[in-house]
Formats: sequence, structure tokens, C-alpha cells
Amino acid sequence: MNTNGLKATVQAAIIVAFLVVCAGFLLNLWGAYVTPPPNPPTPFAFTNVTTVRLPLAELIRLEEDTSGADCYACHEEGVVKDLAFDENGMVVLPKAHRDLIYYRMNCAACHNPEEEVEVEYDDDLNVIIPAAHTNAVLRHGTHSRNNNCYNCHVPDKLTLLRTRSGQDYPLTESTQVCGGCHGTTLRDWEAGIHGRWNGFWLDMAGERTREGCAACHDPHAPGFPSMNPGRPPAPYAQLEATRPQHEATEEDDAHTDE
Amino acid sequence: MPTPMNNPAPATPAPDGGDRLNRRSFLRCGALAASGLAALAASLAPLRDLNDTMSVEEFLQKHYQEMTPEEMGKVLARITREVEKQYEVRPHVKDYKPMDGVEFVYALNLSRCIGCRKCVHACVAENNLSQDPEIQYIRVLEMPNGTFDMEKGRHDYDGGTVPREGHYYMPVQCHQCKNPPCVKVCPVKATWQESDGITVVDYDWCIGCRYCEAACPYWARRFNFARPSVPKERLNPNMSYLGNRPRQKGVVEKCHFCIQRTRAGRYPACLEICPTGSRKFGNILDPDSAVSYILKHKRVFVLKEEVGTLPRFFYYFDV
Amino acid sequence: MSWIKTYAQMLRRCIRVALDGDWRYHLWLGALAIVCLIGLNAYAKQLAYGLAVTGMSDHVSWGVYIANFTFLVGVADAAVMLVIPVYIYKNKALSDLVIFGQLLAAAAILMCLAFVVVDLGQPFKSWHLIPFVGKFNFPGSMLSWDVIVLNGYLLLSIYICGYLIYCRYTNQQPKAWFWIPFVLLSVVWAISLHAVTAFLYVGLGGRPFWNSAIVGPRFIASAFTSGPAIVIIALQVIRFVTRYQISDKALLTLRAIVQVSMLINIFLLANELFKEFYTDSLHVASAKYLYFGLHGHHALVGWIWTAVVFNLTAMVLLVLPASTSLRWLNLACVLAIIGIWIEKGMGLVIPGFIPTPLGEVIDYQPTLNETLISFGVWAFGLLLYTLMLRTTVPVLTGDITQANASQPTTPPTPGTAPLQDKPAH
Repeated sequence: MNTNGLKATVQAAIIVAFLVVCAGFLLNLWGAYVTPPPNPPTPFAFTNVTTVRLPLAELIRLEEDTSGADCYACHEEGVVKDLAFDENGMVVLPKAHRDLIYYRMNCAACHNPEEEVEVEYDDDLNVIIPAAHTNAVLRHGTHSRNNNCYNCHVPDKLTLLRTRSGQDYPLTESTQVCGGCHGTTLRDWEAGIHGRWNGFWLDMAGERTREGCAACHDPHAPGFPSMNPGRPPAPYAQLEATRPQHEATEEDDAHTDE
Repeated sequence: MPTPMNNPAPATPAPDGGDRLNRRSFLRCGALAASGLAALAASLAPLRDLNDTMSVEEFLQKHYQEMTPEEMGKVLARITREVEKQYEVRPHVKDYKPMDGVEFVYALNLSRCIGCRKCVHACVAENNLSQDPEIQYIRVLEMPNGTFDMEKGRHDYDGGTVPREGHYYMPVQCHQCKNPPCVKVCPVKATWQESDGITVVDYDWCIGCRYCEAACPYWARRFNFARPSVPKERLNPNMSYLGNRPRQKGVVEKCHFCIQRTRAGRYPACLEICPTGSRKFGNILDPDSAVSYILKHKRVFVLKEEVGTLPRFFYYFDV
Repeated sequence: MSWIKTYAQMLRRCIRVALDGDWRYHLWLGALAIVCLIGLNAYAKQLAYGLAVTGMSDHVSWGVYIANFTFLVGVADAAVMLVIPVYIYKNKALSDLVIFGQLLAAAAILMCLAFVVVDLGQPFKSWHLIPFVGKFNFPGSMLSWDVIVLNGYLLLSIYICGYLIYCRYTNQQPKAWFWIPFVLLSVVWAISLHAVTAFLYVGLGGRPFWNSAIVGPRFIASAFTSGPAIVIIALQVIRFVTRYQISDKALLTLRAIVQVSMLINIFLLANELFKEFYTDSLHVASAKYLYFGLHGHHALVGWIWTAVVFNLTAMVLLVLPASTSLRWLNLACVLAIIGIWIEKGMGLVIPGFIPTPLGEVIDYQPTLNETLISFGVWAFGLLLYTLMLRTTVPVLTGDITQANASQPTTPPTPGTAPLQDKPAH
């Protein structure tokens, strides 16, 4: 009798347990799935295929305002302007040329249309151009070795560029002038492996477009502009993200752990 | 056969309860069964939240390589219907076939990559990658100069501008290996390599075992742990069956060299957007292609060559 | 074909006693049923929301499900450890226990299959695995081999048990050709079963922690330690709750197997540690993460050292004559089982993924749902094994035989003999 009574108790307990878990299931009392916080969508700038700079040829093609490239709007024809050098021997860019227009950075390549960009001015009310854009000094080559405007520009014909070997090219064909000194790069560019080649890999499917040097490199400060990187990969809600940020140290070189 | 019996104790007769006891025990058994069944039914309650049940057609669908063109047509129609229903955008889904005489190769110039991650996001936009949970086929590593040890690389670099002094940047995505370990291990052949070199996944055939994800030496494959979500306004309607059509929960996906673009003669999205032109792509069987030039003249290398995967993704330095 | 009728009669009678038992039996079944239901509920959540309810990610894409699967395949190998001494060394003390071992193997294989199914992202598409109906990547994929060996072993176990129990029911001598070749086949099959499971991991060149020849032998050694250890415990439970008598000699034979296997297991562990830490190449990162932590992540360090201490303690106990006494033997077995479960589960599956092939170190933490599903599958397996034993022990003790088929079976309470003279009804 005792065992039977115990058995009955156990069975009753099991019935109660079944009903309790039944309630637990229906009311979702444990283990509810919580969706992680949503990730922001990619900013438009990061899906924009345009080049970082608009070369003169491109401006002409797009029928944009090219008045800034009209040298003789301010200069006299035939008059050779002397270059000015500062106390360090660096050529001084004329104030009139230190305008964003001359650098022709393509805003859309890095900025979003709705982005609010703060413009800063110096004491003389000139625009302070951020480091990501080219700087208002001539910086061509290490220690600005290419330190003379007339290395490329023709002194008495400002609409032309001249190679070291004496060949003249209009401003819209600057690539060959660059190649006069940067031969290996020009060779790679002509093979299609330096710079941007966009469109079709299959010739019969369509035209490839190749960008000239000036679409990425401001000839006066040719270093490719640095950019703000896109958002890093989203951290995982339940797991730790990539390892704690720390610089590589000598310890790491010997790959012992901390 | 030896019987395992030893000295038995006197038998205890089974209790004979009488009618009252029998009825009570019967009721108890009934209550036990009923409560058990109720708990069983209730345990399946979360299935009410299932919002992506498979259609019968999808369940019975054949493997990609066994479908006739008519069957493929029906499948593409089904996918078009489902995408239109979910995203309210009418897509254009095609089954692009590989071209003859084409083997795709990718080359990446590590001297030129500045680590801007534009390729990562262009890929997300082009291939309808899930935003929540986030899936990105391309991962860019910020490596310190002087080492190739990827443990020293950073995946989460942010803030300031790139490139940072003393570092180089290495994007990694599926290398479409010639000797792919992922294809070897798939138990149902849901992933295979096509004649143009692209390793593809039939999302409707994949059972989600993630063996391929374990096998890949480059961490190139991604799994849909939850139902992928792409914002409606960001959906790319130009889709391919083996490429960028929206995937379902519980299947594996990966970079497929933008199959909907490359098999139509275009460059992949990551190449199109790269601002520095670090990425080069083309047909290695064409001796005049850019990639042939790179492999001939530049000092290229591949990642983890000792694993023997024979990747079709080459890295090189220029300066 | 009268054997079909007799077989059906035997099954009917056996199943009828499945739920008969005392309050402890009902408590055990009830508890297991509750855990199963909780696990089922958690799995329903996983079906609804996807594997995002688990702690797995693209970084660590296999977790406790595959860890448990790996351990349980080893347990399924336990059956062969009983077969070898009985049929190859003619140790009669273990003959009936072969059936218990085969039943354990069947239950373990079913648990393995359950763990694989809950791990799949698209379980309803499993029909793609069926040869000729789906697309079966045999012999290329080791998973396809695993599907064949697992299901084949299940069928072998069910057949051998089914035949031997039927022979006992009809009080016949089993015909040699009907079972001995299958038993010998199951010995070979069991070894290949676990070797194939090891090869799942070994064949991956991109995972240097697994890509080592020692994984196969370690699997076998740890399987032959943990499997018979579980059988030792299980047999003592059977001895306690039923009237089936199991001699201590059987337990001590199993002890000898566990002892030798554990020694080999520890030796292989030492080999592995030497190779990793003495070479000190970049590939040591996974072992470092496991044993000492890496770059501030040390989630597994506590677990693995617990496993090492447990295994070493079990080894010492097993080597000492003190473990011939059941109290110490049971302790050694429990320590060995837990130690090997940790070692084969979190000590093998998780570190293989960390660091990732691109050098990231991301910890893995199973979620509540994942844990509940795992418990649910274990409860399901234990429930199956319990029911299997409950239905077969009466045949083995002679309570249900063909001879007394016309009489109703009275469920015997533990510690009592079968009714010698049954009252006529």
C-alpha cells in the first residue's frame, strides 16, 4: 500500500509538472529570443563608384564650369611669371590658386549628400582645407623634389604641359606628362593594372573605361587622399568582438600570451 | 545459455485494488496522458512565430545540376514571386551559365589598398547581403608592416583616416580555389565548382550542416543563423539563381565573384568601387587580360599556399 | 514464416510492460519526459528563429551539439568493447551483457543522429542525404561516410539485439550464421565508425588544431575509456533496479578495458601537448587558447584543466588495486566520463575554431536554448535506453518467454523472483 501511495504521489507530481511546463511554454517564460540591436545601413558614399578627383577632361565631358582652368582669365598672354620661393627653398603656390576648385576633389566620392560638412576658415578668411584633401602647398615627390611649377607647366603657354623631353601636351592629356618621369607606372597603367579600369572585362560585352592619372592624383600633391574607413564589422551580441584593441608589441612578435 | 538467476525470494502477489482503486488509477493514467499531450502540444508553441515556411515546390526541388531548363524556369518564377511578395520589388532573376574558354582570376594590389572598406559595402549592396544579422563576404584586415601573421591583424579598425602609418591592408574573400576543401566536404554536393572557376552554392539544396564553413581555410563562407533581412529600398533587383537572389535562413552563402555581373561580362562590384584601383579581375585564359599581365610580371603570392587549395585570388605588392 | 508472428507476439508483450514499474521508475520516466519536452520547446524556438538562438557564429560554427555528437559516437563504440572479450576471448561472463551494450550503442547512435539534426540549418532538407534520391557526396565527403557508418551500426545493433533476444524468448540456441558474422562485422564497424568521425576533423587543412594524425587514435582511446565506463555504471543500475544478476567479474573485466584505454589516452595527450608546445609554431595558438588563454580570452581554460585533473585522477585510481572495489571504481568511471566529455567536446571542437583562419579570437558561449536542447536530446536517449532495457530485461530473466505466452505477465518488483507457479485465470 505504501508503495502504491508513493506511486500515486509521483504520478500526481508528474501531472503537475506537465501542466507547469505547459504554462511555461505558452507564456514563453524562459529562453525567449531577443533580436540583437539593428545595424545602421551603409552610407551612400560607400556605394558610390566615382573617382576621388575630377580631372579637367572629366569636367569638360560633364560640361561643368571650367572657368577656374582658364589661365588667361587672370594672366597675360606671353608674360612669364617668376616663381616665388620661401625661406626653405620651397616654391610658394600663389594665393589665388589655393582654392578648393584647383584641387577638384570630388566631394561625392567620400561624403554623403545629406552630410553636414563644417567648413573652417583661417584668420585671413581662407578656407582651411582638411588633411584628407590635398594641402595648399606643392608636395610632389619626397621632400617635394619636384619643386618647380615649370617642370611641367610651359612658362609662356600656360594651357600646355611639357615633358622633360620637350613634348607639349594640352592640360586634358596630362597622363603622358606624368609618364615622362613615372615610366614604370605609365607602363602598368597602359597594361590596365595601375589605376582604375571599370566596366567590362569582356571586350565584346562593352567598353572599359580607364581613368587618367589626374582622376586620382592631384598633380600638385599627388599622394592619394586618406579616407575615413567604412564601419567595421558589427560586434556579435552574445560574443565578445574581435580581440581587445592593442598595438603589436615585442611580446606579440615572440607570440607569447599576456 | 547460462541463466543469471540466483536464490529467489518468496513471491509477493500483485495487489488487487478493487474497483475503486482501478478507477482511480485509470483516471490518473488518463490525466497523465492528457497533461503529457497538452505539454507536448504546448512545447511546439514557438512554431507560431515561424514566418518563412518552405513551399512544397521548394521542398521537392531538384539539385541545380539536375534541373531541366523548364524546371529552372519554374523555379525562377517561384523565386520572382517570393521576392516580390516579401520586398514589393519585382526582381529580374536569371540563371547565368558559365562562358566557354573563361577562367576567372582575381588579383589584389596590396601596395594600393588603403583599407577604406568600400569594397565590403559595395558587395553588401550588390549582392543583397543581410543587414540584420550582418553578413559581409569581404573582411579587410589591417596588418602591421613586416608580418603576415593574421593573428596580429585587426578586423575592427575604425576612427581617423586610413591608411594608417606602418600598416597595410588585406581584404579577404572567397578565393574560388582550384582545389576547394569546401566542395570536398559537402555531404549533399550543394556547393561545387563551375567551369569558369567560380565555386557556387545552390541555396535551395544546402542542408545547413556548416561543414564547408569549418573546412574553409580563409573564413570565406557565411551561414544564415537567422532569417536574412535586406531593407526593401536597398534590394538589388538584378539577380541570379546561384548568386545574389535573397537567401533563406539556415543556408550557407559566400562571395561568388558577382556571378550576375561577371557572367554578363562586367566587373564585380568590389572592383568597380575600389577608389584606388587595387583590384584586378579577368580571364586568365586570355593572354592579353590584365590578370595575365599581373601573373606574368608582378611578384604574386597566395594565402596559406601550404594548405594546397590553389586559390584563384592573388596578392601582390607594387612598390 | 511463423517467426514473424512469434516476434510480433514478443514485441507486443514487451511493449506492454514498458510503462510498468514502481514509483522510482515512474519518477525517472516523468523527469526524463519533462526534460525532453523542455528540449523540444527550445528546438521549436530554434526552428522558428533559426540557429541565431544558439551561441554559434560564423567564427565558431559548431558548438555543443557537435561536441555532444562526438562524445556519443565514442559511447556507441562501447558495445564493441563487450563483444571483443566475449566472442574473441570467449569470456562467458559477459555474454548477456553484449545485449545491454548493443542497446546502449543503439541509444547512443540515436542521440548522435538527434544532435546532428538539431544542428542542421535546414533539417527538412535532410532527404538530400539519401543516396540516389538526393545527391550523396560519397566517397568524397567524410560526412557522407559518417551517415553510412552511423546508420549501418544502428541497424547492426538493432539486428543483433533483436535476434539474440528473440532466441532467448523462444529458448533456442542462436544459430551461428545468423549472428556471429554480424558481431564480428560490428567489431570492425565500430572501430571504423569512430575513425570516420575523427576523419571529419582530421581532413581539414585549414584547421591546424584538428589536422593531426593523433586525433584518430585519441578518439578511439577516449571512446574505449568513456564507453565501458558508462556501461559499468549502467550495469550497476540494472543490477539495482531489476532482478537481472550481473557478476562483479563482468564489471572487473570492463575495468581492465577502461584502465588500459585511459593509460593510452593520457599518453596520447602527452604526445599532443609536446608536439604543440615544444614546436611553438604559429599553429600552437589553438592549444594556447585552450590551456592558457589567448589575448585575454580564456573561457575554456578552467574546463580543460578540470578535465585533465579528472582524467589523471581516474587513471591513478584505475591503476591502483583499490579500484577493484566498486566505490572507487565508480568514482574513477564518473571522473573519466566527465573528463573525456569535456576533452572531446569543448576540448576538441571549440578550440579548432579559435583563432579563426583570419586570426580572430572570439569566445563561444552556449545559450540557454542550446543547453536545453542538448539536455533534451540526452533525456531522449536516456528515455530510449530505459525503455529498451525495461522491455528486454524480462525476456532475459525469463519472465517473458514463448512458453508462458498465454499467461498475463505480472511486472515483478525489484528484488523478487519470477512467479514460479502462476495462478490460472
